Amino acid sequence: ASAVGSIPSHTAATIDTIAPTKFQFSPPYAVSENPLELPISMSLSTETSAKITGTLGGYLFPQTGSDEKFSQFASCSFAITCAHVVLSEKQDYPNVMVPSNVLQTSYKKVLTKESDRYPDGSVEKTAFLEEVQRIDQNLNWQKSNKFGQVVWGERAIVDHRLSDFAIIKVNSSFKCQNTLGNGLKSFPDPTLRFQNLHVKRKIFKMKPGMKVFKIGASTGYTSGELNSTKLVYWADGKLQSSEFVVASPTPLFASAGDSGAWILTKLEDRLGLGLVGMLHSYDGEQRQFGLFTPIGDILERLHAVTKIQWDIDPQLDG
Amino acid sequence: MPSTTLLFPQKHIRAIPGKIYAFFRELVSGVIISKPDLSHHYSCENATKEEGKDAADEEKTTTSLFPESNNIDRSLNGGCSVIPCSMDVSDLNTPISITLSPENRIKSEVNAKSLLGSRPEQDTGAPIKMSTGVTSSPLSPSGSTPEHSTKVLNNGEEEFICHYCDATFRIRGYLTRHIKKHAIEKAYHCPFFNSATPPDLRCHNSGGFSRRDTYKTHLKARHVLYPKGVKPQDRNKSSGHCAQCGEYFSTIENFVENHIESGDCKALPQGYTKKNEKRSGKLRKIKTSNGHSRFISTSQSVVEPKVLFNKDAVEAMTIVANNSSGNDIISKYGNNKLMLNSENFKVDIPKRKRKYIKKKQQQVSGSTVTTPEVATQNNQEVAPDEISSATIFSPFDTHLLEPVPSSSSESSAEVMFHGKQMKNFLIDINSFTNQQQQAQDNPSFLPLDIEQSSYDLSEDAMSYPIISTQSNRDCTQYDNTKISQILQSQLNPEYLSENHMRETQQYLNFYNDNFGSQF
Repeated sequence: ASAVGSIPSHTAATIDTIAPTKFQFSPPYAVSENPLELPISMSLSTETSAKITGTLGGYLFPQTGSDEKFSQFASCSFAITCAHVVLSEKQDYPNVMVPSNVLQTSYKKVLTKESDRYPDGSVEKTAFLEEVQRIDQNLNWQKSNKFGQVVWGERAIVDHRLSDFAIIKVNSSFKCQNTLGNGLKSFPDPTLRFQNLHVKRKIFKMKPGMKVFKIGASTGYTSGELNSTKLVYWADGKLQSSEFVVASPTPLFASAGDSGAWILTKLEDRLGLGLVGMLHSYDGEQRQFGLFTPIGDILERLHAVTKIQWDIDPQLDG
Repeated sequence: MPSTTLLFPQKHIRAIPGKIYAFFRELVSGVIISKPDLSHHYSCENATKEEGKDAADEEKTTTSLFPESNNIDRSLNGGCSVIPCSMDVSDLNTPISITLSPENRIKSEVNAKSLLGSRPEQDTGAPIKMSTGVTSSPLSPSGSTPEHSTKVLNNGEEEFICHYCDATFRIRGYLTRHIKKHAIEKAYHCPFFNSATPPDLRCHNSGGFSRRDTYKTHLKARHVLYPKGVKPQDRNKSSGHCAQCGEYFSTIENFVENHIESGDCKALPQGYTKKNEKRSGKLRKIKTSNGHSRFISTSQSVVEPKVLFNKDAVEAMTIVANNSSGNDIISKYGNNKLMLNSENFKVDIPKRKRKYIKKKQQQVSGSTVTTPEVATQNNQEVAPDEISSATIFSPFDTHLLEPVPSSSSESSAEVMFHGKQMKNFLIDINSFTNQQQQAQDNPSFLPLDIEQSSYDLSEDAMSYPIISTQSNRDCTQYDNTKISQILQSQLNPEYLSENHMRETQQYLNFYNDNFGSQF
């Protein structure tokens, strides 16, 4: 097998035909070992976008109960991210790619440019071009095995809160689980492993000072403390909303590309993670503040819109 | 028709209510007529939406579970006091940076941080209320931010910012070359340039060159006659005549050195000597209170007006003014530009060294780290400082090749990649936590256990320290809490807003002074 292991196994067959090189590439975005089982917090963009990229928050499942009318959705999985990530361009129901098409394309461009610095036929140039080829293969694979399509999104002020999320219907061939995945092994918090990688519960009661973290596609793992709400002005002050804030003791809690990342906390009474909300904006000169929508608000809004309950786990009897 | 009815008022007076009714009916019908157009429009829109949903199996789901159309309020996209976290890569010149390690590992990362600091100042309305109830008094503004912030800002790499135009460079040498262009007095002058000739007959618009290569190119291009058909890129190898005195040269390569600068050319103006040149200024680093570094040149240079909107720049100029002897530090230049004269800008390098030694001695003699001392450390970082080779990498060091830990410490390599923003911070902590044990060692030594320990300084993470020796753990814990306290106190909303107000006021005064405006 090749010594180059950055792109997941679904392209392994083609990699085998390429001569092994001694270079090890690590792409700027997370990749999953199994391309049909994508952990949360991976990068995400629409299939056609050349610009906007964000983070896959996690998966939500409709709780249809015994209602016959909705039985067709019982086995469906949906993913959630910010509406401004996937609905900022003209298309209303774009297809979505995880990992992000934007990041992969940019990475490819950077690699191609870097390869120009080396003479033709050199090992470096070959290695760079091989990596470019692998990204291309991966992009093609993703295009023929679509992750999903946006079915509905909202970015508006509803009841003095920003409601900014988009729901993506995930293709049935993908296995959806709210887990951080084993591929991300380099968290600064050594306790984030095994059961602590799984999102087990929704946290509705937010206590100021609660320790939370997020894993965004751009800035990765960052942690902070919950704060009270902050008044935010929109549209040149015409609209206001109050938003929940995470404050980090160090600069850069969140940055461009992290939109949609879930704000998580370690459960106190058992192993596992609690879901607090979804990051949508950053603030502060040092970007030490992250603004998020509580998961309770998101689920409530989804209930109001779809008339059925939603949860982070699939329906048991479904 | 209405005019005729007005001519016969008596006859038609009874018909007036009927006419008013008819008028309104017409009005209403006019409004109603437009309605089919609207519905047509909607149906078209729906049709395009349906086309967009080519995955037929999803169509049923979307139509019955979710509303027909998305609810996107476009007005939220502009004029808001916070910034959405989606990344627009078209805003970035290089969205992704690559680093090559000696072990042929090619790491790449998203430059999400590169926009940090460039965010326009915004009044975000009500300050964020801190619920943690920090009671410690805010630190002095000058000592508020630890040194690491500069490096954190710049993606873990030192970035070199030109004070005069805010241009940034990853390699110091490029900044050195660039900064010359802001100098008022150019380093090189064309000896044949005559400002008395009309503009279209001049050999160059100013005759001054900040770079030697452009100066030489000018002389070879404008003051040498080449045989016909010689392309510009072949000029060095070509023969030619001096356009001024007519002397023949079999090669033009050393024309400038052998003919002009040696004073051989008969056409040189009288009294020409190899005025090589006012030596171009030296680079000086200024560190502002929030830890950003800016570089100035010691020669008189022009500050671009746009820079004055950057409060770092204003602060940097204040630092220069405070640390310079002489009066004309800042003066007007042209209509809307400022000239900064930093020739007498004092840089106090030995001071820093002495402080360091002093502190080290204190540590050895057994005194513990006290709060005032932390403040001293911070204050000292604000002092302008010349770049020392100890802290700044040479151009070759920074050039794309970032040191990556050896393969033997896989974990530390990974941590470096993801927790880069914390790396420098830890080194800072380390630099004074380890002095107790390491007075005899190299002070830049970074023990592996610190590097591998949790980067989360919160109490939560402190319950899992991976630190080998007891003494090490004690002092690290001690200093970590201290640091978190300092950082927390910096987030004090009152202090932050006060600081912000003060800076805005300072800037306004500065602007009014310099431009004579009355804002």
